Amino acid sequence: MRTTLSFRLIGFYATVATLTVFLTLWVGSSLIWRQMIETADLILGNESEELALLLNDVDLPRSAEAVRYAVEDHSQLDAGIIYFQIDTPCGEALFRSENLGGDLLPEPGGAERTYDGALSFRLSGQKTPGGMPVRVGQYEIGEFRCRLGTSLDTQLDARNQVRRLALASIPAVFGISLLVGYALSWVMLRPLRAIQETAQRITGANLRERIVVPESSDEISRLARLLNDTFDRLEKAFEQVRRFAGDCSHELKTPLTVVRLQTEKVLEGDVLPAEERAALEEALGEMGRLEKVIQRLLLLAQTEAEALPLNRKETSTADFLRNFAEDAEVLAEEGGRRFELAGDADARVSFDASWIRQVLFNLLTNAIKYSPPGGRILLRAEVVGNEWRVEMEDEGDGVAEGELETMFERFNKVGAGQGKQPGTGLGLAVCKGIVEQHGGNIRALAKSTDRGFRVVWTLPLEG
Amino acid sequence: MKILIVEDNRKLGQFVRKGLEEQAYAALLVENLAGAREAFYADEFDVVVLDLSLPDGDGLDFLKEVRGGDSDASVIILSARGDVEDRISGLNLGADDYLSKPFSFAELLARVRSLTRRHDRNRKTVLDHAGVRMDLVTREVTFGDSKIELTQREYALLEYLLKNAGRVVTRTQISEAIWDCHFDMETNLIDVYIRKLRAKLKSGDDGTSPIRTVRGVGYSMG
Repeated sequence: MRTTLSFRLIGFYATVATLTVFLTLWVGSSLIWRQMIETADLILGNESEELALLLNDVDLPRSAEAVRYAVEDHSQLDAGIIYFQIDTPCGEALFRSENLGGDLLPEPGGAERTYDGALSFRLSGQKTPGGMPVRVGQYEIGEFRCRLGTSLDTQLDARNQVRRLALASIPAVFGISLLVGYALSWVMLRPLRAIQETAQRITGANLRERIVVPESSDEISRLARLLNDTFDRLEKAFEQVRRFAGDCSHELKTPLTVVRLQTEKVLEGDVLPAEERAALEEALGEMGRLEKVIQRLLLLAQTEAEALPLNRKETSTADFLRNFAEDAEVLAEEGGRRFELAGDADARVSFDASWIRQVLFNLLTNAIKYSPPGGRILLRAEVVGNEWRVEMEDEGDGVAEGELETMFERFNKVGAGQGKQPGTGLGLAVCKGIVEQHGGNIRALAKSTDRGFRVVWTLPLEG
Repeated sequence: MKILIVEDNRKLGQFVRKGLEEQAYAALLVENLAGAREAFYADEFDVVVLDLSLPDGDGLDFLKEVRGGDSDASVIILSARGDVEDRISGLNLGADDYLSKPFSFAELLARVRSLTRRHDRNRKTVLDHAGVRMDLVTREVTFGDSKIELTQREYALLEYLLKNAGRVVTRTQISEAIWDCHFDMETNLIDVYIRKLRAKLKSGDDGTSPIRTVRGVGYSMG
């Protein structure tokens, strides 16, 4: 959950934050630039009015001398801001302010505008031939064509600085917002993590625990409440299974004991006629079967609720299987079959040896029952990836494809009606329950041409 | 030998009491925890047969009291709960044995008997009975004059039979001792091993073996 949800959130957050900062700076710089241009235009406009007043007083004939006389003082006064360039309408130079230093103001490119109905002018940002960025306005004042310019050097500098800052902000803001986002999601998702941790702790053996519902009434506290409700129902269901097991034990097993003890007692003296004796012995046999069914149903109820107490110990799989093989060979030989153990892959696996051995015994008993006399029963064990994989295979007829799924269900009699002695129909279901409670899984494989019935189960390795 | 039976099912309790009395044990039946406490502190018992689900409480509490006191009575838990969990906690609390319902009387009797003789024979290094001699140190087994080769399981089984020589041991007891398995293994493994042992321990002249079958119960040595 953390890897996906919070990383997605952080990534999203950081991207949005970075884009926002970058765009704000970039757009801001453009807005400021426009503002500065407007200011420059205003200054130029004011200047043109002042210049118009001065030029009105120029003596005739309009010589360069006369113009200089009229405007030089003024141009020197404004030399810090304004460049002056006055020509005749045909382009003859009349006056150049000193601060131009020989440079020229270029012709502005903008559209012609009129100002106060009297002056028409054009404005644009340009570079002088000398490479200086200027805002230039060209005003027609009487018989003069005046170009006024103001330097945009500092303004351009300021704008470029802001833009550089915008670019530089991309990695910086991205990095910072990753950190902030991580911290934020760590804090925000803490209740979720608490929920996750609690939920993981809650197992069959520990159903009392509940998630602590946060004070706030937000999504997370609603989720916590919802989960707690689910745990309540789960606990109730568990309790029912446990109570059923308890009731079953007490209500069935104790009377069954009485019946058994009494039947044994009657049989004890050897005084009964043969017929009655046989009947009672059969009853005892059926009682034994009934006991076995009760035992297995209880076991199933427990494994289904994952409430079978397991005495897990870390065990060497090779040692365990060699130990089992000793018994398996004896049992197979007794049943007229051959048992072989293949594969000596060793791993440390934590499991309850008596229950897992019972799984193997159940499978072996089936295999002996359904394989032909002299047939080979092969137990193959290997370590595949993170699993201990054990496979038992016989040379029997196998089962139809359609039955593979259902064989592990209760009261399923595989190969029923083949004239073999009936089992309880619970053996494979018990195997499944035991393996699954160990965190493994079990399945039957279809018969291929050279193989009989195969059952494969796996248990996870340590860690 | 005095035995206290704590069992709330009257029929079952009386049946066990009668059965034990027929075997010449003195047995007293009580049906709840209160009765058990009263009887236990008024008299001295060698064995307590204790049911766990009692109308006025958990038998395990009584077990704690018994083990907390200075009595050295042996306790056999008799439980319908039959859980591994209950077995473990029962044995941890100091019970000497644990028998799941339903059981056969012979099973109970075998366990009561083995409790009364639990402490003998356990420290010997050589077991010797009915012509079978087993050296626990060298792991050498002889029958009569001939040396016998045994597999690991056969050896363990014979050792258990010899240690309980003269007494009936049930299949469940054997599977607990040899396979550490507290439920029915649902195989005929034990019978098969007994047959193999018998084949190896056959007297030449009449073909009999010192291992006896006790029908419906188990086996005994000699």
